Order: sequence, then C-alpha cells, then structure tokens
Amino acid sequence: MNILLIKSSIRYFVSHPLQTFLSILGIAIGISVSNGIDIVNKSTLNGFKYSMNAVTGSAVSHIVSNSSFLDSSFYFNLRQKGFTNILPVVELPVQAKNFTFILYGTDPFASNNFEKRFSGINFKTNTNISSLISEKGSVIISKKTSELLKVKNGESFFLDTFPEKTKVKVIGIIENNAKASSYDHIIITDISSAQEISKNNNKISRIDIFDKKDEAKIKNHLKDNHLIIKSKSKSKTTEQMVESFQINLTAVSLLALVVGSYLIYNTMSFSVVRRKKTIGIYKAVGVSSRQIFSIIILESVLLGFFGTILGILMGFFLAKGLILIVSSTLNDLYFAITVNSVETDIYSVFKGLLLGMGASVFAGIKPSFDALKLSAAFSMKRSFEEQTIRKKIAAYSFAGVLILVFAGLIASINTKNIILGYFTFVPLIAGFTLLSPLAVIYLVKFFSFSKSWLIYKMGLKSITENLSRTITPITALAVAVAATIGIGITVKSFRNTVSEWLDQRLKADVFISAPGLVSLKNDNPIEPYLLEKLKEVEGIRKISFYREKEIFSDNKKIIVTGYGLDREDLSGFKFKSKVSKNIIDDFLKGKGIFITEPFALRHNLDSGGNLNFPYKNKTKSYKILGVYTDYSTDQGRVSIVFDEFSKLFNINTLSGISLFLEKNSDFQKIKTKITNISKGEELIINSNYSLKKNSMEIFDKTFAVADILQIISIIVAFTGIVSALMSIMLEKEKETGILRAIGFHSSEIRQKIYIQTFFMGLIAAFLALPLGHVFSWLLINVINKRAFGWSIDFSFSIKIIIVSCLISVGGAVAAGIYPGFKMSKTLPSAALREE
Amino acid sequence: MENQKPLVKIKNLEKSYLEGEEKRLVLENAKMDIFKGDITLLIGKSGSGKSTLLNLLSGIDRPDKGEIKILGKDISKFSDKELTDFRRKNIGIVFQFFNLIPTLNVEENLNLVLSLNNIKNTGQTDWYLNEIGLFNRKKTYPDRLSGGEQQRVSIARALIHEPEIILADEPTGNLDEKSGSKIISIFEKLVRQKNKTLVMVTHNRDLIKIADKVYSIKDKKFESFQV
Repeated sequence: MNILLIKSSIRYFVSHPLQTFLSILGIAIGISVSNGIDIVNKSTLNGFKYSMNAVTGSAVSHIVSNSSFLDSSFYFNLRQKGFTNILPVVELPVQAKNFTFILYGTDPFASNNFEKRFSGINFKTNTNISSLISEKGSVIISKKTSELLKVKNGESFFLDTFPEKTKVKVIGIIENNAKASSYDHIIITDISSAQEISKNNNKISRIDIFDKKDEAKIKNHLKDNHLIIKSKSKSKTTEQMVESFQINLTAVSLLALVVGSYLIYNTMSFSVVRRKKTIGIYKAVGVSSRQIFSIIILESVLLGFFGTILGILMGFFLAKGLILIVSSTLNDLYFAITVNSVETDIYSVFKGLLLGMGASVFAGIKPSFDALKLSAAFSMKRSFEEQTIRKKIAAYSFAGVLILVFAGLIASINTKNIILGYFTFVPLIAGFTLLSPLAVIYLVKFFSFSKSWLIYKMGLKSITENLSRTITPITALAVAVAATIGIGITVKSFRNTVSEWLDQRLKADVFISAPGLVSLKNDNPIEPYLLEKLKEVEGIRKISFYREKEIFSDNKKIIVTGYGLDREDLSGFKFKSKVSKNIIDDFLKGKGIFITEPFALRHNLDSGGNLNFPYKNKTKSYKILGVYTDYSTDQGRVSIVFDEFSKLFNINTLSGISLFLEKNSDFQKIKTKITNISKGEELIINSNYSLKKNSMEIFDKTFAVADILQIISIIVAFTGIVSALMSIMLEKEKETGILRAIGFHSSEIRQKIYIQTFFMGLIAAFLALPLGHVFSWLLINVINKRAFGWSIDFSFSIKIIIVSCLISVGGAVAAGIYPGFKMSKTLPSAALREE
Repeated sequence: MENQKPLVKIKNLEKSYLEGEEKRLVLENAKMDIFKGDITLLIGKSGSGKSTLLNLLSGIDRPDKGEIKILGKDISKFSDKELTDFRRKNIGIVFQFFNLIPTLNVEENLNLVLSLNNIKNTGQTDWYLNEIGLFNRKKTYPDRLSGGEQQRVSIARALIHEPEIILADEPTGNLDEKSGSKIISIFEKLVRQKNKTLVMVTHNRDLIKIADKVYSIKDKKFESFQV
C-alpha cells in the first residue's frame, strides 16, 4: 500500500481529533461491554468449575444418595471390603464475612488418597495436615481467601451455616500457584469437623472413587437410593445449568457493539463523504480503485484497532464492577459460591480483538464501496451524495422488506437453537436500517406542520437535506432505544407473568422454610415433627407442605418436588395444553407426575410421556400427566405427590410448609407460636406479602445487568449523534457562514441545531416503537421459548414507551448542545473564505 | 505537422448528462485531432462542454458514443482498472481549484504521483520545486499557500511523472492577472522544455498567443482555427 496515501489518511483523522476520538470511544464502549461480560461469564463459570474440579480432584466417579446423605458406616464397610481407593467427602455451602464458599471435609489419612487429591498443592511449608484431625474446627484456606477474609495462619474466623455460626481456626494456607487458584472458593477441613459444622454426624455427602475398576464391584454393594455418577457429568451439568443465562447475557452485551458498529460506519461514511474531493483527486492522479478501497478499509481497521484495545482495557474494569452483580444473581439462581475476582486470558483478548476488528471492517465495507463508486468527475459535485441516497430509497426499502421477511422465516424455524434465535436480530436490524430512510422522509413530512416558523422549517428540513449524514445516527439511536423498549417490555411482561403466577400459586398466608445459601433452591430440610406440632396451633385452618430434592437420574441432575397439597392448592397449577379431566385425581393417587415447561424443554418431554426415577437400584417409571407453568427455576422441576416422593427417595423431612390461617388470625402471633415450637431450629417465616416481595426482589436483581447494558448502548448512540453533528457542522461551515452573513443571529443557528436534534431524537423514538415491540416479541416467543420454555404473557407498557421516547429525544438534544454552540460561533469571514 | 499521426484522435464523440429527469446533450458527433508537443486551447461559453471533454480525455468520465484514441489506444473501451493505469502513466491534470491533497505537504503531493508510477525520486521533486520557485516551501501544507502557489504545485504534480499529455481546466480561472501570467509562463516553459502535449480549457483569450491550435465548441461540436 502506498505510504503517502496512508500518511494522508492518518493526517485526516489527526486533524479531526474529536470525531476520531468519538468513533474510537464508540467502538471501545461496545467492545468493553462484550468483553467485560465475556470475562464475567468466564470468571463465574470457571470459578465454579475450578471449585468443582477442586472438590472432585482426580476422582473418576462418586457414590451419592438420592435420599439425603450416605451413612459413614457405608464408607467404612466399603473400606473393610478392600476398597481403599475411595475418599469420604462432606461438602456444604458456607458463608464467611458475606462471601460464600464450599466447605470441603474429608479424611486426610484415608490411605494415600488425600495426597493424590491435593497433588500439586503446596501445603508443606507451613501446614501440619495432622492438625486437621487433632484440632477440631481447623481449616486450610487458599492465600487469596486469607487475604479476602483478612485472616492469617493461626487466626480464627466464623463460618455461617444458618442458623449456626462456627468458629474455625486457620492451620494452613495454600501457597499461590496455578493449581492453588482452584481452591479460592473452598475451605478444607477434616470430615468430622465438617460433620459437626453441618450438624450431620455420621453422615457424608458422597464417596469419591479414584479407581475406575472399583466402580463395577462397588455397584454390587450399593444400598437403596445409592448410585454412582461420573465426575465429568457433574461439571457438565453445571455448564448446562448456566448456559442459557450466559448466552442471554452475552447477547445483551453484543447490543452495545451493534450500536458501536453504527458509529464506526457513521465515521467511515463521513470520512468518505468529507474527503470525496480528495478521493476524486486520488482518482484523477491515478490512484487505483483497489488502493482507494484498501485505504478506507485500513482506516476502519486502525480505528477499530485503537477502539478495541481501549475497549479491552475498559472491559477488564467493567468486569470488575459487574462481577459481584452477576455473581450474586448466579448465587441466587444456581450455585453457592461468591466469585469476586475477574480472570482474563489471551483468548478473551483475542476474542475481543476479533470482534472489534470484525465489526470495524464490516462497518467499513460499505463506505469503502461508496468511495469506489464516487466517479472522479462527480465526486466534486456537492449534491451527488444526497441524490444517490434518494434515488436508491425505493430499492433500499424493497430490499429492507425482503430482509425482514427473511428474518421472519428464521424466527419461525422450529428449533431449540438459541444462537439462531439471536441471529434473527441481524436481518431484523438490517431490514429496519434499509427501511429507515423512507420512514425518516415521511416522518419529517408528518412533522412539517409549521409553515411560518422559518427556523423550525430549516431545522426539520436539514434532517432530510443531509439524509446521507443524519440517517445513520438516527438509525443507531433507534436501534438502541428499540432495545430499551424491547428488553423493557420483555422484563415487564415476564415480571407481570411471574407476579400473577405467584398470586395464583402462593395462596397460603404463612410460609415456613429452612435458610439456605441459594435463594431459589430450597433443599435444606425441616424436621417433620414440626408438621404435627403445627396441627395443634390455634388459628391455622389448613397446612400444605413440600419437599424439594436434587437427585441424579441417568447422570443428570434434576429437581424433584414432593407436594403435600390438596385439590384447592392444585387448582393453582396452570397447565400448558389440554389435560385429562382426572389429572388432579391421578396426581394425588401417585399415578403420575407433573413437569414444568423448562423441564419439558430441557429433556424434550411432553404430557403423555414417561420419566424414570432410580428406585431401589432399579428404575420406576412415571407417566407425565401435564406440563405446567412454573417460574421458580429455569432448570425445570418435576412434581410428584409427597407420599410417592417419600417412598421413592426415602425422605420424610420437608423443605417448606404453607399455612392457611383462619379469619382474624394474626400473622405475628402465629409466627411467635411457630418459633416457640420449633425447638430452636432456625426457620424463615414469611407472610404471603413478604415472600412475594422477596421473590420479586430476586427477579429484579436478576435483570439489573440488562439495565446497565441498555444504558451503555444508549451512551454509545448518544456518542454517535454528537459525532454526526460535529461532522455536519464541519461540512456546513460555509452554509452557516452564509446564514450568519445574511443576518442570522448565533442564537437562531443554535435553535436550528436544537430543532434538528430534537426531531432526530423524536424520529428515532418513532422508529424504535415498532422495532422495540418486535424485539420484545422475539425475546418472549423465540429466545425465551428456546432458552427456558416459559410461557410469558405480553404486557403493553405506556410507561416504557414514554420513558424511551424521553431518553431518545433528551439524548439527541443533549448531543446537539456542543455542536450547536460551536456552529453558532462560526465566523462568517472565516467560513466564507475561498481555498 | 498535419501529416504527422495525431497523439489524440477523437471521433464521433457523444456525451449527455441527466439533469433531473431530462437528458442534456453536451457533445454530439464531435471530432478533434491533437498532435504531440502542441499546446491546444479549448475556448467556449460556460456549460458548452469544455470541462466534459477534459473529463473524457482523462478517463474520469466515459462517452456515450464515439472513440477517443490516445497513443493509438481507444480509451473509451478500457475497463476502470485499465483507465486508471493509463491515466496514472500518461496523463497529468491541472484543475481550476488546484485540488492538492490537503493532508499531504507540497513535496508529498509531488512524490505521491511518482510513487504511484513506481518512479524513483532521483531529484525530480527538488528540480520541479526549484523550477516553480517553491523549494523552500516543500514541507508546507496546501492550505498555507496562496492560490498561485498552489497552482504552481499542481502544475509540477501534473508534469513530474513525465506523462504524454497534460490536461488543464482553466488553470488561471481562480487567480489574479499577475499570478495567472506567472503560472502560464511557468506552464508553457515546462511543457515546451519537456516536449509535452498540453490541452487547456480557458476563457482567457490572451492565452491564444501561446497556443499551437485553438478549438472552440459550437453546436456541440469542436471547431478549430489555426493560430
């Protein structure tokens, strides 16, 4: 490539520093969001995966029980039978100073397995492993954890296991090395200490098997509800669990990048338009088309490169800010560890570079072709650009309609592929972009109601007079606002649906549960005696209950709920399709089960089908009586009548009890009575109102990230408008000079700009309204259906529409302030000076 | 000279433009021969098609009909790439509004043409800068030069790669009389010295005195008269 052409390009961008900075900033913000979310996704998932691997170690499989725990005696029996390559494990989530960890208890002297488990970990410099057994409540933590909790070797801290708090003493710190980082979320202790902390004496969570040959032999010794699961399937389950959540987060993060791409496109289009004369001279002196194309693409690449590098750096800091929000959501929804440190790798940097550069090159393609099409003779004529776009409006609009039809076809494909679902947005936005010039022309006509106010007419008309310049920022803003409307309506619809569902399902007045660390998982047990005692409490009309349990079936983790409900309670279940009249009777008789919509989607099941549960080392098949709406977990849930559940899994403890109070019963009094009869057992007692309120708070927290990402995309669009107006300002300098020379006040020039930007914002809002609703339709009926399978009722929201319009108009007018001020300061003499 | 083979032969040339929905014919069945080393002047009213002819000769615009043979080759049949390569090598253009690359300094504006033609700079740039009297301003950007100075750079740029033909579109049209005369004398000196062919469009009838041949455009055709 010709070095002088490159020099010329660089000098062009250097001589317009504000515009160059704005476009670099635009792509930088776009990349920072996608890269930041990528880092957060990876950090949280890896944090969990590393912890999983750390607690699994080199075990090939695990013996678990589908009822609750394994008896320690079972482990000792196996050892007596000669199985020495096994290790007992007690594992439970705990909190320390509001950070959540996994407490991992094992037997440090179970042959050489402990050494094998922790190979590569440097305990030796300051740790006496035998102290784990000799000193009750002694723990080993990673160096990072010691820094986080501000505890040193030999010091103590409290572990919170709800309701208890146990004091533990640090007797060893794992020195930092590559493997040690896996232990950042784990607190290691002796098995008996872990049993004591969990109040489960003689019980163990699982037995790790280290020798594959032992698996088959051990199978012969398994008891009822015992089963062997593969190590790999455990971590795979985790990935699958959060897959949809992370894909959705990534998709929303790409929104800012899409809007950022418009900005690059805008900058490149302007740079071509502004240099059309230079390009004409290039052509006249013999610069080839290939060279011109290459130089414009190179400019996009350079802008993209600087934007991307800046974006990657900003992304790292954004990730640091977002990690706690996302980690807290994952904590609420999926698993119990707090990931509070971000990790990035060369792959993330490379991915960011590829994405940023790709978006920049893509955005630079059309301007590069535009530069080629400028004939040397016409490139010096002023109205050429506007004529071209106007001539092509019909063709653009027709192509736009065809592309929208294509988007519709993609959306209607019957598949579970979420990525393909999100891909629908590409032709949708492309079709919309192509249709927008026509829409802008009609909207400007629509708003041209004042015939006498000159400034109004001029400001409004300048939108269509400079359509080739104004269309991109209007479209970029419209897409950003449409995303706000789309996501806003989707969240509102989802929120309303969940709220209605809670009203329908939570009919009781009081809800009792045991505290746990994952808000939406409720597998901490309540002892059954409480149920009997509650029956004696005055003021309670009716009692319902349930028990929730994560079980393994065919190496898959599924949540099963055993319900102790009557007909009245079951009437709150809303079924997806037509079901048998006897569905409730059949359920209560244990003849079948219900599954939730997400469960049906994840496991490809429907009513009429069958589901097998492991039972006494065999399997028991249940007919699926119906698929019902349930929004408590995207993992899906299987419901079965409690008696059957109890028989299947040999469980008689409960997860939750619902009380229907008699009229005039007082909640506080009942609460006091329950506390008195619960033998000091810590219970969460919620009124109907507070439980619904808590549930909705978790819901709102889950979508907090989406709000932040939307705001960022609006900022990018705002940057686009400032950039566009600055470019128009440069190009219209002479025209402004003429206006000033013939008697326009500087305030009138400013008014003209503000009217122009006001209508740019208003038009963007008008364009965003239909697009935003299509976005929400896609999110509800395509993305959600494929990702989670939930039925969500569409909720129209005038508030979201008004707020979005205000954001659009306010943002556009604010973006016009500086360019308007600068333009009003144009000196006629300087602007009118010839070359 | 009439027995000599023409460097440029234009035959049955037709060119029209769309003005809104209407087609405006600018040249029709036009003919012209231009000979090597000649200074050919094209004079005529505004909008008569003078600049159109220059655009067609330089290949930055294409005729609707007819033939433009330069150095024996019909450039109207060239592809875009062939036209660019041909223009790059054989044609130098001087515009009324100078059209220097604003982001390159004086020296770089000249060097750009050399580098596009893969010609090593063995002192040509300095020689031309001396000839046009701007050697001391070679690091200056175009917007710091006066109109006359810019036009001198533009002339040097058109000649530096030794093209066969120089096309000039009203090179003094935007200059005062004194600057205009200076430009023309430099231009004539360089063209004669390098034995190049110059086709110049102008309103300025005073320039007839330096021309070998003069054409005017009448009824969409070229009319020649001997000087």
